[in-house]
Amino acid sequence: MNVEDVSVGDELHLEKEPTRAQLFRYSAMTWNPHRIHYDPEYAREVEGHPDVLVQAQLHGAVIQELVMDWLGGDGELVEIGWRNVGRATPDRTLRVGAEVTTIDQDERTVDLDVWTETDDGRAAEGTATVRLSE
Amino acid sequence: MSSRIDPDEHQDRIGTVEHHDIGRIRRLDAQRYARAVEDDNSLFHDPEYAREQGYNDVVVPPNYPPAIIERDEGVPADDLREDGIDSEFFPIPLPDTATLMGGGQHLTIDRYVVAGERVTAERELTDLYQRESESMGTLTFMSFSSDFFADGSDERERVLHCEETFIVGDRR
Repeated sequence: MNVEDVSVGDELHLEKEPTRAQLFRYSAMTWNPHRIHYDPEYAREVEGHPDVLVQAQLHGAVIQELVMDWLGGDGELVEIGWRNVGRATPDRTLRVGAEVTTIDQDERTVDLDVWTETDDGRAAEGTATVRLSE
Repeated sequence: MSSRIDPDEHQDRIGTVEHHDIGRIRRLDAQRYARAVEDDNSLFHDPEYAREQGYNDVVVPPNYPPAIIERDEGVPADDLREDGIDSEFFPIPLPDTATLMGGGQHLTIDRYVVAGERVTAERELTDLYQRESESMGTLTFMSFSSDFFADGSDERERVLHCEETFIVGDRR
């Protein structure tokens, strides 16, 4: 893929279904002791969440997965940012999306809007920028 | 509760810089992080593929270092707050019943880190402010700016910049 192959409006999609085991592994790898990610009773009864929650950074990680899978070996991710605007819980579909918004032919950069969403709406949204190889 | 935090009392903490030695990121660490995401990208798993793409070893998933919550060893379990958070994690004390949420991150990636490089970080508290939310009451926002460095070559080199926000709320 090179920059000429990309068009504004191109969309990328990925479906994930985070499991409780996955949330446990992610907390372990990121040395994250926050109880809302592993104790459903605490998450529900003390903090008022519907269940344990997908970690804020895991939303960024699955957006990164989507964009870097699309890139393959044809470039590098240079920026990625997201705001956590909603909650996601395990064992439910988490849709990951991106849409090309800007292409700079001279710099060979592509900007994308990026997001994660559940059936309840957006969980994270932001932007990413990639630079394609020459 | 978040509403018990008075940002004015902690303005002197803005500018506080913490230094963290995340250590050498092994190939297995990069692979396990990618597995925890269920991300099968060969750049993160297959050293031969990564070399064919011009890297010395597997690529460390870029958002792995800034996703690490506790960048040091952390306090003993008995000293964790009820919500599991390290009571010394933030540069300002949190009320016992405050709730915490990640608000998001923005990463600027200077270059990919590859397995075998040692990573250090500097994190600075850059802002502390409150906003009212109709549904969640008073929310306190803590903004941090972090630089990550790698010393895979002879010189320490910045590899990533991270702007992030944590949101402190009240139990509902």
